[in-house]
Amino acid sequence: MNLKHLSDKMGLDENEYIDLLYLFIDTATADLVNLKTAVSNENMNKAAGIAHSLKGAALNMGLTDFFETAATIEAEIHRGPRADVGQLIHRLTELLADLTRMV
Amino acid sequence: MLKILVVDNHPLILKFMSGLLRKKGHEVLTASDGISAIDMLKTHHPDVFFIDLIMPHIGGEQLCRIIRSLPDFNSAFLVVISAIAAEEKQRIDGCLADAVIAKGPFDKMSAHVLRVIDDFESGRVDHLKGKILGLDEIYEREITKELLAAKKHYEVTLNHISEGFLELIEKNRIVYANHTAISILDTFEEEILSSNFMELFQPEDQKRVAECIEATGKLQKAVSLGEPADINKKTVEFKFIPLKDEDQHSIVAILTDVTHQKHLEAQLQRAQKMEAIGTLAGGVAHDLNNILSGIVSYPELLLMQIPEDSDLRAPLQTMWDSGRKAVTIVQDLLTLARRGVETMEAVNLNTIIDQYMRSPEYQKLQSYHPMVEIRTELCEDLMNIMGSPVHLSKTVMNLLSNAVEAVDNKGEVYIKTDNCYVDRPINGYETVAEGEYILMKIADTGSGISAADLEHIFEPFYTKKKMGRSGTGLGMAVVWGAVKDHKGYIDIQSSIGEGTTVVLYFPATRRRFDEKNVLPVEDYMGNGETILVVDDVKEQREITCSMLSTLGYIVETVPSGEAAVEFLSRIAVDLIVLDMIMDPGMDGLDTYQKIVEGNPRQKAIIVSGFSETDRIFEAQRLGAGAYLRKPFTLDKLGQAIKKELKGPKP
Repeated sequence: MNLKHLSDKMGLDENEYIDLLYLFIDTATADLVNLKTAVSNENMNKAAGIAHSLKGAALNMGLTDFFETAATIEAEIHRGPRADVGQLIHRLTELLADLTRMV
Repeated sequence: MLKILVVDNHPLILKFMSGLLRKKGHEVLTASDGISAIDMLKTHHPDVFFIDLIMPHIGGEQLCRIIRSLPDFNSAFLVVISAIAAEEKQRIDGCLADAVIAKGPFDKMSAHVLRVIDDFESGRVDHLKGKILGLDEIYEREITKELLAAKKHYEVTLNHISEGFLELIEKNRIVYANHTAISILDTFEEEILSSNFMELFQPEDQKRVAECIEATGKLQKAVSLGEPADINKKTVEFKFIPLKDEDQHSIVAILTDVTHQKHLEAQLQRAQKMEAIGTLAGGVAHDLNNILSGIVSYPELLLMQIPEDSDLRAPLQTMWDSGRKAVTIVQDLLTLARRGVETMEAVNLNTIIDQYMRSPEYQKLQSYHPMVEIRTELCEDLMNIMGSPVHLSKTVMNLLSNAVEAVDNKGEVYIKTDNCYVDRPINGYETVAEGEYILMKIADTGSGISAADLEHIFEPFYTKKKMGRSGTGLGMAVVWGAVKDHKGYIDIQSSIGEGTTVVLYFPATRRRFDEKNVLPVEDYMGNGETILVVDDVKEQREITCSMLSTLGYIVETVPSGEAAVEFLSRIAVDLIVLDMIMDPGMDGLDTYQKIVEGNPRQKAIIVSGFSETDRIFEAQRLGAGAYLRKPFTLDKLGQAIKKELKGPKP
C-alpha cells in the first residue's frame, strides 16, 4: 500500500489524503473498540451498523482490503446469530495498525 | 461564492466535503446531525445543502422535509448524499431533494459534487431531478438491504400501533415521532421534529411533565404522568421510558389518546347521576302527589257547586291555580324520574312547536323579551315521532324560554326541525347512535354557557338564572328526562358571548297521528253504575268518591286490597278504581290477582302516584283497563271509566 498511489487514485494531493487518513484512523479506532464491545455483548444489530460504517469509510478512502474485511464482518453478522467474527475483527485491527504505521 | 451546509454524522465526509468545496472558494458550514443543522438555520442562510440520508435522531429524509417547510428555505437547493442510494430509491424520491449523489470512493464523489454545484450556479438543475449520480459505480448490496429491511420492519410496526411514540434527546427535543403521535398532536412530522417537547403542554402542565421526565432519567425505569394532559383539545396519557445503550441516552414518550374514553366515562357518570336524582325525585313526587290531590281536586269540585257570583269563587280559583302549578312541578319531578311518559302516540314536532307558539305562555315570553327575534325553519314533510305531546311540549317550552332568556337585550333565537339520518355515530355531548331521527335545533345568540357549566346543565336546580325569575329549576333536567324517555339524544354546544345551540335527536316513526276526541262532559257522565274505590289514603278515597258521585256513579270505598277482596266476595260492582301502591298489605297487582281468581271478568282501572311500572303492565295483562296517574282530573277519570264500562268484559 502506497500513500502516493492511494491519493492519486482518489484525486487528492498527498497531504490532503493524509489528513483524511488520520481522521479515518481516529474514527476507525473508536469504531473497532465499539465493534468489539457490541460483539462481546451480543448486540449484533449494533455490531452490524458499526461494520457498515467502517465499510463505507474505507470505500470512500479507497482502502480495498479494509473495505472487504468490514463487508465480510457485516455479512457474517447477518448470516446468523452465532457469527464468529473474532478473526475478522483481528484482521481489521491489523490493517488499521498497518495504516497507522504508514502515516 | 456559495454558502453551503454539509450535514453528515461521519467526520470523514464532513472533512472531505469541506476541503473539496472550500478549495473551490465556497463558504462551508458543517453539522453532524439534523438537530444541529436546524439550529444553524436560525443564524445562517445557506444556498445549498448536502445532506446524508442515514443519520442518528433526525434522518436526512425528515431533515429535507423540515427545511422545505421553513418559509426562508422552501426553495433551497437540497442535495442528498447517500450510501444506500441503490437500495433506497423510493425513500430518496420522498426526500423532496433537487439532486442525489451516491456515496462511494472520494474521487467519484468529488466529480459528482462539483458537477452539481456547477449546474446549480449555471441554473441547469432540471436534468438532475429523479437521477442518482454515481449509481452506476455502486451495486445493490443484499446485506445493506437486509439492514434496511429490519429498520423498515420496526418503522412499519411503530407506525401502525395505536399508541403515539416520541423519542426525546437532550433538552427534550423530539427526534422521532410515529404516525399516531403526529395524528394525536395534530401536526406534521417536519413541524414536530427538532421541536421542544415541553412546548406541547399548557403552562400549568409543564412542571409535572418536566418532573416526570427527570424521574425517568434518574430512576432508569418507566414513569407515567399521573393525570392525563390536555393537548389540542385532546386528553392524552403519557408514559416515559428510558432508552439507553453504550453511546446513546434518550427517552421515549408513549402517548395514549383517551379523549373518547374520558368522554364516555363522563357520559356514564352523568347518566348515573341523573338516574339517581330521578329515583329520588320520583319518590318525592309520589308523596307530594297524594298531598296535592286534595288541593287540586276539591277546589274544582267546589267551583262546580257554588254559585257564579259567590265571593268564594275568586279565592277558590286562586287555590286551584296554585295547586295546578304545584302539580306542574311534581310532574316535572316525575318526568325527571324517567318513568314519566304515560302515553306514546305518533306526534309531529312541528305541531308541538306550532301549538306552543300560539300559547299564552309563549305570548308572555315574547312580551318580556320584545327585542329577541324568533325565527323558525320547520321542515315541511317532517316525519312523526312516537312520543308524549305533553312532555315534548314541555321540552320545547323549556328550551325556547331558556334560549330567549339567554339573550341579554337584542338578539335572535332560531328553531329548526328536520328529518335526519345518522349513518355513523355522532360524538357530541352524547354519542348519537346510527338511525333515522327527527332533529330539533334551538340556537340563540345569547351570552353562552361556560364549559364547566355545560357539564352540569341538566342537573336539577342547577341554574344561572336569578332565583324566582322563571321556571322551576328543573327545566333542563326535564328536557334530559323527556329526551331519554323518547330514546333520543342531546347535543349542546356553547361559547361564551356567542350563544348556545341545542340539538335534540328523536327516533323517527312512520306511524300516523292518533285521532283524539275531546268529549263534552255529558259523554262521560255515569248512569248509576257501582264503582268500588280501593285506596289506602283516606283523602284520595274521598276525592275520588266525590268526583265519581259528581259524575253520577254509586260509589263504595275500601282502604286496602284485603278489604276489597272481602267486599267483592259479598257485593258485585261494575268497576274498581284500584290504587296500585298501597302499604301495608297487598298492592294493586296482588289485589287484582285475587279478585280475578274469584271473578275473571271484573273490570278495573288503575290509578297511581307513580308512573307506569312493570306491576301496572302485569295488572293490565290480567285484564285491568286504563292507567291514570294521580292527580287526575274529572274528565280523565270520567273518560277512562266510561271507556272501560263500554268495552267488553275481560
